[in-house]
Amino acid sequence: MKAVYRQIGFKAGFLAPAVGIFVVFFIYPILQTLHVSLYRWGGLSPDMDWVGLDNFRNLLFHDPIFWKAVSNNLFFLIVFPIITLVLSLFFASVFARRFRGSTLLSSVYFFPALISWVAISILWSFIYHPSIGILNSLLAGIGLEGLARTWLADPAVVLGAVAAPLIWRNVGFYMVMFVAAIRNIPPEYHESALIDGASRWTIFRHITLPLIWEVVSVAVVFMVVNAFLAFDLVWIMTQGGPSRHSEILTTYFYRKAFIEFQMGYATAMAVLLFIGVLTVSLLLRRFMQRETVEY
Amino acid sequence: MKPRSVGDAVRLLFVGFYTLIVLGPLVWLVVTSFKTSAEIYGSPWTLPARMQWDNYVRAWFEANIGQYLFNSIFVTAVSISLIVIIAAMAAYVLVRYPFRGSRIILVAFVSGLMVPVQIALVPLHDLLRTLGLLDSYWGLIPVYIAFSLPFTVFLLSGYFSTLPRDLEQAAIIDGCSHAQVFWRVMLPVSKPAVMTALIFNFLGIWNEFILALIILASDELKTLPLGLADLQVVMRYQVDWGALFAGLVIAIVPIFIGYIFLQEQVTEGATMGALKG
Repeated sequence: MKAVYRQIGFKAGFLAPAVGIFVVFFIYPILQTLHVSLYRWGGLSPDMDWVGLDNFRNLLFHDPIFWKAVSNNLFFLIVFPIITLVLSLFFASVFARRFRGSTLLSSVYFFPALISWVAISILWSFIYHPSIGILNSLLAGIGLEGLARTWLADPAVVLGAVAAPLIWRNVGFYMVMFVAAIRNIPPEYHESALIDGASRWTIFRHITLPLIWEVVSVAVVFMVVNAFLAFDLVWIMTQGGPSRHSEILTTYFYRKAFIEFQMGYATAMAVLLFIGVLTVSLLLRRFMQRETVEY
Repeated sequence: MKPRSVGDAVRLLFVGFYTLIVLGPLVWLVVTSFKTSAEIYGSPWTLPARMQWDNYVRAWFEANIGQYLFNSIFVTAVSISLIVIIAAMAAYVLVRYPFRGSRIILVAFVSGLMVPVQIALVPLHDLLRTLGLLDSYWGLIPVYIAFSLPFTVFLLSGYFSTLPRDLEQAAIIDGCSHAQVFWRVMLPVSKPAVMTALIFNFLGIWNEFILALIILASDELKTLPLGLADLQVVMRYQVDWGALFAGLVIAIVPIFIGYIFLQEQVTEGATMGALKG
């Protein structure tokens, strides 16, 4: 009997810190978000006006900036995963066959994934800088000065300019994941296909890709969620500008909550953001899972 | 890889080109960090006439990067140690001593993986203000721990559930208490998973921005990402690009050194996070 009681004390003691911190600093704020989203609230005063679903109604039907942000988000989460996926799969297929220097090079490709978004954002704002940046000067150097522009202030290109470092940071990261997956494939699969005279592309398309599909689909979901939630990059490079042309949901949320102090409105947006991320990742997972091949 | 065909040559060309794209910005960053302002406004392709170590001195002392660096080291070290200990204790009990409801607790932790941090920011800010923990590490560190628990519990509970039963039975027979079994036997044999958890959380917290942004306000408490972001704004007016570039280098170098020494573990720890998707 005594031993059993000791076990209860032991279990409770081991669980208490994690459960306590999790409930107070994670679960409570999330539940509280649902509550706050139903009020008009300036954040600093305790006065909260119950407005029901008005915040959601205003966001969805009366806020063009919200929709601008949604469409910029869609650009991010379509363009970034596609380019990143194509590049990282291509390099993975090259690096999966070891060659002299391949280990060193793949470590080099991977390195940007370890640098903070803040540092990367500042670095890239300088790459784009009109007077001291290397991009315009590089374009001039190869005779394309016509393409030079103030990248982060030009509504036509700002979204692409902000997405570029997202790709730059992630290609090596996913490449390393895919290389590991490809090297796990039993070599006989490739050998027999090679003997049959299949081309590199055919082997990749019909053997490699189906066999690493599980990893690829997890990676795609991860890319999409990350693109959805990118904040640091946009906030530091453009703050959503020029005139909202790179505003995304996370930056708009931050502006509403912590600069304009429309806390109720902002939390309603956070709830929609959560629903959006969840829907997109579940749909994507369902959609991609069908093609998994076992080996 | 010797080019044996046109296809190989093209592949090699792409690899070479992409290597330039990856390394170019980093090399440019380091070179520029040693230039005078006049040189920075000149051609980006020239090397500095003299190494301007003074940029680093100004970044370290005047721009406070030294302070931010120590703050980051402190916050990260304390947070990741506590995260791993707290998460390991919980994960251990949840998978090795199942009880009624243990499954639900585990699921609750792990489903936290799907929750974007934004959804909690406003109430979190309000909660910390009410508790008087805004602008203090006493607020920041528990929040970091809370947001790292889902992944860490997920990772460690997966690992603990694979350990053989005999291990702890032998230790119990030797007279260890349940807690002693954990500290002396189970945790040490779980070193690989603990290492992965430490590295994953290190990267997450070392680079974390938005939580620090809403929680910290005093300059002397700011972590590196926050300090750098501020510095960028300040330097727009002071136009001391040299010091800003030096600050960026200072922020990246510790990661670089860690990566050289712990490459395999770092790669493993970083890519594990993709499971979060």
